Amino acid sequence: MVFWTLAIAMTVCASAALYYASARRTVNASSAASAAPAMTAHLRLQLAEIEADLKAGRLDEAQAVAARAELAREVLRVEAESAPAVSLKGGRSVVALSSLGAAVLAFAVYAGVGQPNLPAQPLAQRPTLPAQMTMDEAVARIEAELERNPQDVRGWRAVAPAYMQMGRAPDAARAFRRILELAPVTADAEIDLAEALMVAQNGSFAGEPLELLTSAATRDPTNTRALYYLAGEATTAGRFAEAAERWQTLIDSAQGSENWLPAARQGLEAAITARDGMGADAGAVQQRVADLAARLETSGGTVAEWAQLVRSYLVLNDRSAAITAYQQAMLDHPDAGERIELDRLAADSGLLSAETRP
Amino acid sequence: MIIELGHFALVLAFALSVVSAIVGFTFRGSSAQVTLFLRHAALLQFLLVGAAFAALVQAFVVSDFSLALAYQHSHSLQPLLYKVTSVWGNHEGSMLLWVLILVLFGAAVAAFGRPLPFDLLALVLAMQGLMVAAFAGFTLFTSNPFMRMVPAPFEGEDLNPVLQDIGLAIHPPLLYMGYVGFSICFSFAIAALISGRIDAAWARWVRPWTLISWTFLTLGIAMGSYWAYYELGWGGWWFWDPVENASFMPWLAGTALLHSAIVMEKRNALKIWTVFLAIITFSLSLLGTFLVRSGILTSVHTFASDPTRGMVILTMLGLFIGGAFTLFAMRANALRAGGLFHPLSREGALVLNNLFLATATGAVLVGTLYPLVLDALTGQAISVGAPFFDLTFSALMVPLLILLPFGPFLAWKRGDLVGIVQRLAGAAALALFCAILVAALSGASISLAPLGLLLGFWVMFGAIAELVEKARFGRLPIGQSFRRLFGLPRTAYSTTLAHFGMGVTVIGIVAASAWEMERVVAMNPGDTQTLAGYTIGFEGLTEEPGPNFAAEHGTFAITAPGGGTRQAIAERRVYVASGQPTTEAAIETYGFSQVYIQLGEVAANGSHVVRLWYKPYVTLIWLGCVLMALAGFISLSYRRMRVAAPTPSRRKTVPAE
Repeated sequence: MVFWTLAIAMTVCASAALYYASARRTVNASSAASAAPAMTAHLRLQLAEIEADLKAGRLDEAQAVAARAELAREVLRVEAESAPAVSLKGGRSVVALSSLGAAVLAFAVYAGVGQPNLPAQPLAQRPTLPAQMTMDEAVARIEAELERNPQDVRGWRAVAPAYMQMGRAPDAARAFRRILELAPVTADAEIDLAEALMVAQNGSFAGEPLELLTSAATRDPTNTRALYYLAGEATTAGRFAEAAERWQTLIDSAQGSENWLPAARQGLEAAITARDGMGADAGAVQQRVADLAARLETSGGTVAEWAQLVRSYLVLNDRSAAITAYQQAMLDHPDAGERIELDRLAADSGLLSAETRP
Repeated sequence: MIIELGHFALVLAFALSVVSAIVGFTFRGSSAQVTLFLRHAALLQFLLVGAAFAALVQAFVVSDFSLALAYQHSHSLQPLLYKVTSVWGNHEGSMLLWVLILVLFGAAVAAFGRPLPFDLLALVLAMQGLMVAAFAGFTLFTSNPFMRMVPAPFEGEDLNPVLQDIGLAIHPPLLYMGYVGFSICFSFAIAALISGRIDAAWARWVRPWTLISWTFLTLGIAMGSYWAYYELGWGGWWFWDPVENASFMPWLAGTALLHSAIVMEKRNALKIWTVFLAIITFSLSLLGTFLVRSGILTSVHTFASDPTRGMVILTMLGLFIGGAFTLFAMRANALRAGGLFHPLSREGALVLNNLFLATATGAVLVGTLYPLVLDALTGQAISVGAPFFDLTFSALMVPLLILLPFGPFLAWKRGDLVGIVQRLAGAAALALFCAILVAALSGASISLAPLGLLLGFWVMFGAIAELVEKARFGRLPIGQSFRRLFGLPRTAYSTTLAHFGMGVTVIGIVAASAWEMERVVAMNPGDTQTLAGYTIGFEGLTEEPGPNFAAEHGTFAITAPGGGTRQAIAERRVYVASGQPTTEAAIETYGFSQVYIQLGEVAANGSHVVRLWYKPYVTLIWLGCVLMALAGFISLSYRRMRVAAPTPSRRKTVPAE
């Protein structure tokens, strides 16, 4: 009620101010009906300036005469085209209707978008949290609530991670499955369920979890959790080429400070070593590295490609080549912001002691 | 209740703007009372949006998380300043700030516009009303900052850590003042097109608004650049990021507008072109603010966007920009073309300036939008990066800067090139000397850098030479020259200062790009490195808790080549609510140069990756911008109306009276 009183008062003040300020009878000098007076006033100002400049010696006589002549031509033109006076009738009713219209429109719109009954809740004036409830008690309360209303997605969303934290993976899987049924399917929701099922299956992704992960990765190809789990799954399953590719995609998508990055790097290295050790002999590996180096040297490449080259040299135990490659990479990518991944690799493998900017 | 009252105030302002637009366009010439109504409505809109904004700030300050925006973008542990700046560190709040500045400018026109012919004022205010209606409507219906949450959460999700900086308090408001200020020029241009009337008085009204907007835009861009420089952690000051380009294009176009408005005010020429530029400039401002929110571009500045919002934004941009150009195409012929001038004259020089600036704007526009268009049409993703912009942009800027000192020397209407070359010879010689001296002192090898320096010094000394010439030093007794110097109008000083500032920025850019030194090292406490004569010792690491983050302080001791040791602290922070890490670089300024240290990640053996930079004369880049902005304010403070006298032709002039 207080709110509506204030809102109405605000509107009435605004409309009344508008009406009374605008509907006055006085027509002052500013309301001249055409541009001519304003324009001649402007030209008169300019004329005064010319005289002042002439007196101060900023203009000589010839220049002043030329400037005055220009002004005079302008005055003649303005006087010739000055518009006829316009009628001033009907203004009051337009103003009155407009003031009223604005007020009506305001209430109509606010009724649509506002929430007038919601009180303010500044943090300092709010009751403190219900005194330190234990996790078990909280979960029990939500469970009781869900018993009565199993359609409540928010309840399931609250209880599912709690189950995971408490080590009740099968319960968590049940809850995550319920969320998938009740809410629109998202990649994250699928991964949540896959995670819970994986824990319930003692760490194996076989069967449904893998299907869920693949579906999540198609739904959102940039989802790092899906990429991470799929890369890990490929590694454990022994599909090293696929694994290396997936780890690389994951690392490329990183900002540089994620907590899963070290694990991903180890995964990539393991996958590459395993892949190259299985398939080809050492000669073929060296050939591939040389090809890459030649390409990068002549036409440059991405930071990730340079990092791959440096990493390959390190695996081949050729430190000086790795340092040279790192220096070339720095020339190719002078912006340190792009290079975080590469600098990190160099620091980890002790390449930084060398002079870095050749 | 305060939140809802603020919400209501915004709705009321929206309603007033809708009514203003309708009434203004329908009854524009018919009654003085309608104009009075529009003026008061504009003032009221400012009061109401101001109240709405204040309500929002209040909710953030008391951490009222029943306001969804406060929950999403603030935290109860933030320092007071960041609670306030969090209000516009997000899409919805920054929209409200944009609208607030829009109504502020509308109110300013209403307050200062009394002397204007009332039909012109009615059209301008109606156009402002239409814009307020569109953008306040967009805010209310697609990005409402007053959305509530029931039940209210107990803690907020905190603001993006990169934004928790004093820069957020300064950069967006300044930038928006610049962007939105051009809306006034736009409205004046539309009013001129509709009424078919345009004259020197019109230009006189447009120029201060152009100046204010341009000055704030200059400061806003410079501040944004410096913020990126110290906050993003690798000392880059310009990235040709799409959003930077989006703010740079209105600046280029605005600079052109500023110069062509001078021609129009003083010489009554270039009228149609000025109107066109006013439309272009504000269109680019709109593009700058909104393209990034449409979800088309992604960059540091992108806020979370959803597709419907993007479509609404694009439609609005299309209507405003397309509508303005259609109106221009239909009505430009009705405007009377202005006075004539010889190609070799001050007017001609300013046309040349406009030509270069407009082309540069076009080049940046192409570089920014081409990848988007190509992607949309063929699905092929390409990236247009710094090399493209460096090449095309400098190819356009170098000739402009070479020609810059000549402009102010040329007389209006017709000029004398030979005489000017003679008078500028001194400045050229001095610039050559300084460039060689600085290049030699820096010990640089053969490169393009000395040529860049030459250009910078040429612009600086050319600007000063103009003052020397105006005071006739060497041709009049020295005392008389000084009297002339002090008698010069303030606009002469502001021209000199702005051009001088441009030269300073050029020198900063050249020196910092050519002679920057960088080193990436793994350091343990106790290690020492030397870079460009500076000895940098890593003294130790300490854990320091902040209000809403935990920080790791790396203390460094920097010993300058000339002796003297200073302590500098580089930080790594992890914010509690978001878990996001940021780095705060340690920056020490020596003269105009800076040593920049960034404490990086922990390497496998426990040492830290530390990035060290020496950036010679880097501060000149922003110092030059500040000088340019200062020149803007000086020129603004000078409100007298000086006529530019034409140089009479040789035949005898016949007085017109």
